[in-house]
Amino acid sequence: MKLETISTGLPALDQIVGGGLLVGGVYIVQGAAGTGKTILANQIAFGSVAAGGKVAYVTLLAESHARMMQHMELFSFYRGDAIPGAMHYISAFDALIKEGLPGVVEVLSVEMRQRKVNLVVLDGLVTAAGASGSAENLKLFIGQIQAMSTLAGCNTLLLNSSWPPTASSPEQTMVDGIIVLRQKLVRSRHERLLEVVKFRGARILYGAHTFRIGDDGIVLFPRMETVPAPPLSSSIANRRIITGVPGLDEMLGGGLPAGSVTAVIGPEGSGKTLLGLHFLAAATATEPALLFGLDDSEMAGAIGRAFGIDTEGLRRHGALHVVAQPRFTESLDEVGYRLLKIVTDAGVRRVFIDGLSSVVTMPAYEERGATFFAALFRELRRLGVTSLFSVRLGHDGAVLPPGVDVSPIADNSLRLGVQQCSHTTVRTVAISKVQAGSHDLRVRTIELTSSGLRVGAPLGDSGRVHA
Amino acid sequence: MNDSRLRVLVVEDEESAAEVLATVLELQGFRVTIAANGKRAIEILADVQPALIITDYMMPVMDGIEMAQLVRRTPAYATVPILMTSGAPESAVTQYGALLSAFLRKPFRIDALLTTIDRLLAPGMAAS
Repeated sequence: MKLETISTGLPALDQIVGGGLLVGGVYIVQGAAGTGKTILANQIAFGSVAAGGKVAYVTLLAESHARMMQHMELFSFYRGDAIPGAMHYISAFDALIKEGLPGVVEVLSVEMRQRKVNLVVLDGLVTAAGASGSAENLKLFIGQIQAMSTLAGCNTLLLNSSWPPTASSPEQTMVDGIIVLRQKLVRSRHERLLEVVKFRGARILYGAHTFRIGDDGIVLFPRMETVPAPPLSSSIANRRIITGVPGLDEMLGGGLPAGSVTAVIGPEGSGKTLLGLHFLAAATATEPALLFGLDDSEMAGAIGRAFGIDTEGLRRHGALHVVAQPRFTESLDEVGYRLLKIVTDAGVRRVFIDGLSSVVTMPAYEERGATFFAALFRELRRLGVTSLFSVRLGHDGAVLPPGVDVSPIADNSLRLGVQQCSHTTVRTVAISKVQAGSHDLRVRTIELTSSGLRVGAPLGDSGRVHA
Repeated sequence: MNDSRLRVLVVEDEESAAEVLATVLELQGFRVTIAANGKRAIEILADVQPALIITDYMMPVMDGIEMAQLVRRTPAYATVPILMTSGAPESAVTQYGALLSAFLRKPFRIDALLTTIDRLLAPGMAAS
């Protein structure tokens, strides 16, 4: 039997916890000061209010509610008109001082029974633990809250600033779930992370998920490789997508397999960006393309103009969207979701990622490696998108930046070469890997002409065709 | 009781806010009693016999509006000025305007508080 759940109001958090909070469940939101507990709790509370619920925000801290409300007013989720009718801020500090934990239980009981709230936030579990005097008393306190929550069908969030928790903390074992917020210093910036370490009755997305705090409060980015993959689009099966370079399409037996991922690998000046721009220029307003380029997208535009590809015209006609690559403050998943949102919103069908270096040099990439890209490209494929990305080779032929293995990411691989022969520069293209269908394995020359990239004669004369 | 100081009942669940308020009022020469919620305030009303009630809105057990309703129904205190303070906007109490003599949104400046108190305690200014 599936247990009844209620949304947290944050779709991404619902996704991470496998649907939502269990009705009547008690959860700990844990993290050191400044990690975002209060914002998350208020966001969930106002989300509940927006859905027609009633909330009591009960503090055991000497901190002023007025100050907290002033801070919350900055976020778009805040609704001043819901206070105090649907959203009630009260302090149980006096009850705690005068009557101990039973006094706090009485305050919560009144809120649940008389005010009929469906969510209680108890801010200051560490204060309650300190006042309990013993682990047994704290157990009893948590047990009473659980019993009241279950009977009233009311969810309770216990905010705990104690970090790290002690192994013997009884509350850790008793509650229905524990959500941990923390910050991690990666190089010179802090990355905010949310991790669900316990959640009863649900299949959660394990691991640390990054989040950002902005005008809309907490915006979560579920770790992309942990998100279950829905079925692939059947509409792309057996289709070929032209690259925009006729000679290359011939080599590929009609173009790239739809929904596939292709690496364009070559040294500087070999024509990687130009090949990508050809690929983008083959888009239409009904099946548009996306350039995921460096911040300075002017560079791609300039290259396009020099070789007869009007990227500005494509943009004006809605056939091309341009997105800047990672900003300093972004996490790996935030970048991925940003890209996917544009793809979904604009109905993009082809994506060119001009250089992976800005992504693969992100701190999280060291840890997660190609699994992130595999998940991103899997999602792009599901959306019916055919993807191309360029990879730069150093003078020694090694992929830049060093240590990045692109082979598991790509279904297809095109290798571009550039060599100085006496007084001329010879550029070449070869298919080193392709997912399906017959293709020409010969190395061919390519020319950069005023109308773009043109595939020339084979370098060798084997006439070999791989089927 | 020989203490001739005017009595103020502060009804506030946030201890730090209540303490600050009490200190400011005592410096102004008032005798201050603190209640942590509306229910407690009603219980001690007859003992305190306040000339002014300063109350928070959102409190456990009984909120400021419920308490003000009970105070107004008690003939002996029906005209005692009630100053409500809250982190919620004033629009939240508009419908209860008849119960209240004044409203200050938290956090407020001490001079705003004292000006409001002066106005409420001026002769002929008892709440109707």
